Amino acid sequence: MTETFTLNFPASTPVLDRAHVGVVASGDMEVLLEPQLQGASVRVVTMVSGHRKTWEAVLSRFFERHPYAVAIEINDHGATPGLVGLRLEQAIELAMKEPA
Amino acid sequence: MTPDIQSSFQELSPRERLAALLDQGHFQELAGPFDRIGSPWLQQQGLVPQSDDGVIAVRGSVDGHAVVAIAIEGGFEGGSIGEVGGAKIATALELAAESSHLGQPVAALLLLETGGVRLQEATLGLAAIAAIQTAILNLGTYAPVIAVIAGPVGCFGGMSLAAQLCTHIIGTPHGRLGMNGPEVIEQEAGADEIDASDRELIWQLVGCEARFRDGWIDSFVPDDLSALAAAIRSAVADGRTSSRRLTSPAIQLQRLREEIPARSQASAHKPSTRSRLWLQELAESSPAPAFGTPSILTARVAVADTTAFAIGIVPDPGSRLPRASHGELGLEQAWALAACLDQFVREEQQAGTRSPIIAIVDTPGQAFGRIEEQRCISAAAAAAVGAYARARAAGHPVFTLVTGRAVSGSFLAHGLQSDYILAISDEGVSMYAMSAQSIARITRRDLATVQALAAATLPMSFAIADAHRLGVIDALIGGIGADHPTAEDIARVKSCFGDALAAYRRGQSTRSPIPSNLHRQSTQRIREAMRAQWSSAADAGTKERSASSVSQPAEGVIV
Repeated sequence: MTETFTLNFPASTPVLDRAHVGVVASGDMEVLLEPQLQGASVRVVTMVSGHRKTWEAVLSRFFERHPYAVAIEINDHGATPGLVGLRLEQAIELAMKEPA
Repeated sequence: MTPDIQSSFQELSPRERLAALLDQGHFQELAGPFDRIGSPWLQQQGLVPQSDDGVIAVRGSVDGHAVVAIAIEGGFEGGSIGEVGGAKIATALELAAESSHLGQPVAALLLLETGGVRLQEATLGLAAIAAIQTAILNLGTYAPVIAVIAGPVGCFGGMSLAAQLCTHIIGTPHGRLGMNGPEVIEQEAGADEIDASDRELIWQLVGCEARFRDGWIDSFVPDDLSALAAAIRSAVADGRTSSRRLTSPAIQLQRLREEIPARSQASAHKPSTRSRLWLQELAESSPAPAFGTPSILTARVAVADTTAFAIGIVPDPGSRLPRASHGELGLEQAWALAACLDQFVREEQQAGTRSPIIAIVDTPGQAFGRIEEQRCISAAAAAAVGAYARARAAGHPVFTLVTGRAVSGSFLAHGLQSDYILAISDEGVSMYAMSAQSIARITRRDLATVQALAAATLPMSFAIADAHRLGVIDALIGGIGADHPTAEDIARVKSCFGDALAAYRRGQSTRSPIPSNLHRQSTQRIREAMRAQWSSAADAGTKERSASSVSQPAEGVIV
């Protein structure tokens, strides 16, 4: 069965826009990212239950390096920690892009 | 984009595909991920929904022509069509038709990567595909509706019928188009019929190159962005609004009979089924085969002050194609069904009448077989869908009576294009997309798990009462002897159709209302969101930032 939880991290750097990356396909995940005023919150829905500790470690490391004030939703189909980091970085990159 | 360098189309993600094909790479998405309308049914089955349900619908333009474009994410649940994604496709096409009808033509582009009905939401997936088919045919009378089958998933199941109903089909060497996936045929008919692991055989049967050779798709282009874009521009500019693939069912039927010999012993045995029984009981006189096809029976049925034309599919043990001898919808049945409906509508047109049509349904499903795929049963079944839809568009009230099994592609082709679907409330009456055994194999679950999920999930249920709850079946009639109807039972069924006919003539909808159905809130949300966004999308421009420059290939497809 799926597992759902929300994790919060201190963050205050603003982003410019919202962003959507990834897909709920085997070994991958979907990220919805939106700006918020203060702090980072991440809601995770994952197909692979029992790995909350790993999520906490991966996400807290990510926000230590990228303290962006964002609300993130992750729909996960078994992404590896490496891919989780990559998807989050892609989302931040898109959200920080100046409008064309 | 650099048109002089070959760049693969099939490796692009759905939004990248759209950006690559639409003018200036610009589009406005309708009911996009941030509207957060995902499947309401997957999570209770242990699956994670995607925020756009794997279907991306946008407005944009091709060479200045307004288009609505739909791309399916083949990586999410095998590109399957569930309630939300299905409603999104149907609504996009309906909005395009409304705009076209008001004098502003909007063509449609369907980038199909789909295994067909999402088995976890089977009943609603089937209903959605029926709505998509109606919408394709309607829009196709105004503007081109172009299907692109680029791969890697291909286009299977009910969506292969939808593709065949489009005005243009464009395929690439990586695309496949078939009604039944090889794994399902192997499961249903055995490895002697088809070896799903024999890649070469599969591509010879259902690959787009073979489909183009046999005339079942209109253009075959390399997996190259500029070649594909050129084929699409040409189809949009062509403006042709009718497919030439399905126009002559009677000729297709004749060709089939010439090329496949009848089996030596034609059988005089006529197995009893509910289709045959109910046709006989309802009919004014003995039902007769249509177009020399013993498995397609038609009869006249008195309804209120008029006479309806009733059609049923029945078993024919002597069928020239053995995979369609137990009452299945096979090649012969589908072409004959389309031919006899077309003929009936022509005759009525000449007579200036619009008599009701009643589909009598008890069918174990479509025929699963090698010859069926080779001869594109998708096209034959689509011809039947088209014939029903055209009859309806011509002003014939089209009704359905479900007396037994209402299954998958056979129900799409015979029963789901109706104004009013009545089902007998009985244990032997059910609606489903695939046998539990096949679902278990395709979704890699054990049979007991599949059966437990089917019992616990409304749109996965086989029970006809659940299909009625979901608004897919419009009415149930109980207390009827499904196997031994009394004269009173027959009169009650006829009176249901009489009431539906009266409502139809008053201009009232006879379909089960969706807005007030608590189980269909997601359908309703999609419709409302898309309608609201449609008008504001006129100034097409990408508001969303999507990952069009970065993509990570999915590791495989999980259905």
